[in-house]
Amino acid sequence: MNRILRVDLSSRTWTTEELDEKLIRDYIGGRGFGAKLLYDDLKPGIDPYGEENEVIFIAGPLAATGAQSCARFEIYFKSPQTGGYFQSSGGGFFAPEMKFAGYDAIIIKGKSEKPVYLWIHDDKVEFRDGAYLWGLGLADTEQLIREELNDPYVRVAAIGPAGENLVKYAGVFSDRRAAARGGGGAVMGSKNLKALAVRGHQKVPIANNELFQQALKAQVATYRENPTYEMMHTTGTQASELTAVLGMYPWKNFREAPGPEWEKLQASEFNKLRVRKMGCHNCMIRCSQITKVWDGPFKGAWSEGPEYETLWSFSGPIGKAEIGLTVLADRLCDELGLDTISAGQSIGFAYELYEKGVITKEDTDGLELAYGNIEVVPKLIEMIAHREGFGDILAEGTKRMAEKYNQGSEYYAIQVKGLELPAYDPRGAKAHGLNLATSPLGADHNYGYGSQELFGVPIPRPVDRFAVEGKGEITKFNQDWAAFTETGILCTFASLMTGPDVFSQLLYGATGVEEFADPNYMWVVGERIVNLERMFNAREGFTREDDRMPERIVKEPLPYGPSAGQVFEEDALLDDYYAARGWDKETGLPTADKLRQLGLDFTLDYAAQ
Amino acid sequence: MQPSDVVMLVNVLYFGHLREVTLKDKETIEMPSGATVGTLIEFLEGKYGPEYRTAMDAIKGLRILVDGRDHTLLGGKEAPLNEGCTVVFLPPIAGG
Repeated sequence: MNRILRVDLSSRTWTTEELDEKLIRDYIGGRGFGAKLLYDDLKPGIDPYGEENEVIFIAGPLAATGAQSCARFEIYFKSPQTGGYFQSSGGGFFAPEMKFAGYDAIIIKGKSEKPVYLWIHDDKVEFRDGAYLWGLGLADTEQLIREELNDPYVRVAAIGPAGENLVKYAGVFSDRRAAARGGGGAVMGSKNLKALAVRGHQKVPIANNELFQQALKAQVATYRENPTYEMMHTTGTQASELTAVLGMYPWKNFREAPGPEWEKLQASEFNKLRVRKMGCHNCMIRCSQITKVWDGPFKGAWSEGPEYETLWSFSGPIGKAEIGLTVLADRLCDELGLDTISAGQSIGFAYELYEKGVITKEDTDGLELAYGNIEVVPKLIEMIAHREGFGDILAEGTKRMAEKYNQGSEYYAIQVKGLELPAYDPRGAKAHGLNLATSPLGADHNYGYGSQELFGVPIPRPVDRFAVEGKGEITKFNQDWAAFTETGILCTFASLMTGPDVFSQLLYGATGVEEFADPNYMWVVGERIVNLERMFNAREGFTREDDRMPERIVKEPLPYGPSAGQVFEEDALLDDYYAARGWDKETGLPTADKLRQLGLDFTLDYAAQ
Repeated sequence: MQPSDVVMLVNVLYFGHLREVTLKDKETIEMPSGATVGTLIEFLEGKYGPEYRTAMDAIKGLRILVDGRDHTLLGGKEAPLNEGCTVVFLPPIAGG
């Protein structure tokens, strides 16, 4: 147990190594390992599609221990979409299987000459022919691998055609769960790596079982007491009611609030489509559901989902609320291997380009991208995944599309660092927006959810979502908390319920490392991870200029609704954030003093001067 | 006309169990000038009976939003209502 597996696809060799005790003590596990391993292994300036880039699969120290909601896997890589540090997280059952096989991390570098998949079973690793899987969708890929290996319990993490075709926002999928954002699937595709198949039979040890069981009991109790648990358990993760009544459901490429159309996409409407509840390994929340469309133009479509981000991605950006389309689009992206947020946003951006006459039917292979015409969306998704015709341009994402078409379109390319914004308009929630601006991943909501502003969580204090003052401190809190909980890869939804004390006890009980019993220690580790990730990007040349929001978000007030008149006060918010972090305001980089304080001396060459 | 005689229109949105009690998802209500969140709740209790209060109290983590802002940040039950404002009774919702 507690091993790292290193695989070189170029030489078709593999080695294992024990986890270093200092690494565990300083970074705990999960995201801490991912950030440190990626920083140590990669040299600055490498090509994301080069052999030197890595895809690191991480399972947290609580996966397969019995702890609730800790079964997510994460992947780490240099992103072809942003050119910087990236991590992406997916649910399901893959991470526990990694642990059963004895691995906390699987590090893959190099490039295979031919399509290949890895068969990792306990202490053995095999390089298997993947040519017959190349071009297949996710469901067929998983099924055929299980049939070939004659084991229905093998867990598979794979890419679809989008990853093979190097779509900038292709993800990695397992059991219809996605580590979707940032292009990890494209990095796998560049290595001719179709999939990892994992099976293990080892028991995951618990250092202090009595203590661990006490903490687990406390965790379950916190779930039962938390009203959000009941909501997610019965309804799922749809949240359009929330963002609509906050005036933050972005519409027509972040130009408008939706008006009454959002009512067609509220949770009660999705509940009518639900045919089955689903959940991840050892999670009592079971927030997922299979939905099926029973009538309308998309009758017969089904999917596991869509979750809130996806239902928005295929309604808000194109300015049309058609529930059947959101289900079908979710299924297509899951099958073809695409990030729904960036796919939906790229299509929505194209609609505005079309409206403004920047592109015409000559550019779109004859497809009519007028608002209201949504029948073309499924076709566009297929074209993106296969880089067919206009899909080849959409596959590059909004930043590169704007660079191609120019004519002022950068103003309304809704992205940060090349990553498209998710489904909460940041003009209506300044800390949430500040997280999107400053995350090293680009506009990733999970990097530091503004739960105070969005969900009314009064921790560390109640927050006025329109206020600017103090949002730097709140954003630091949210980002450090996310890093803290991702050391054990606790699901974001569950982190709001579990809390720092119980989570620390779970980690202490599972690992026996005494420092982990102290939440204050864990907060420091969270801050260390965030600073290290920042330094990865600093090493790549990122500065404050890369923390800029899209101009539309900064200059254009929301026209109506409960967030009317709001803009994102970029400079004031960034200044406040850097001050709260102890970073240099001019460059947006950590200072040498801050890095020394956090034990990150090895990054000092790239500190603010 | 005394200030309290002046009538204003307040939009109210319901979710979850409150829809079952009111049998509607939204309505527009006439309230006297100077009304607050507290007086609106009293009015709704009068209109729909004690079941309204019971259902409201049963929703753990209920948020009351006035024009999209938590009423706790606007004075709680004393939070003032204005002509044309929207009050939302929102059960806990989180997602992503």
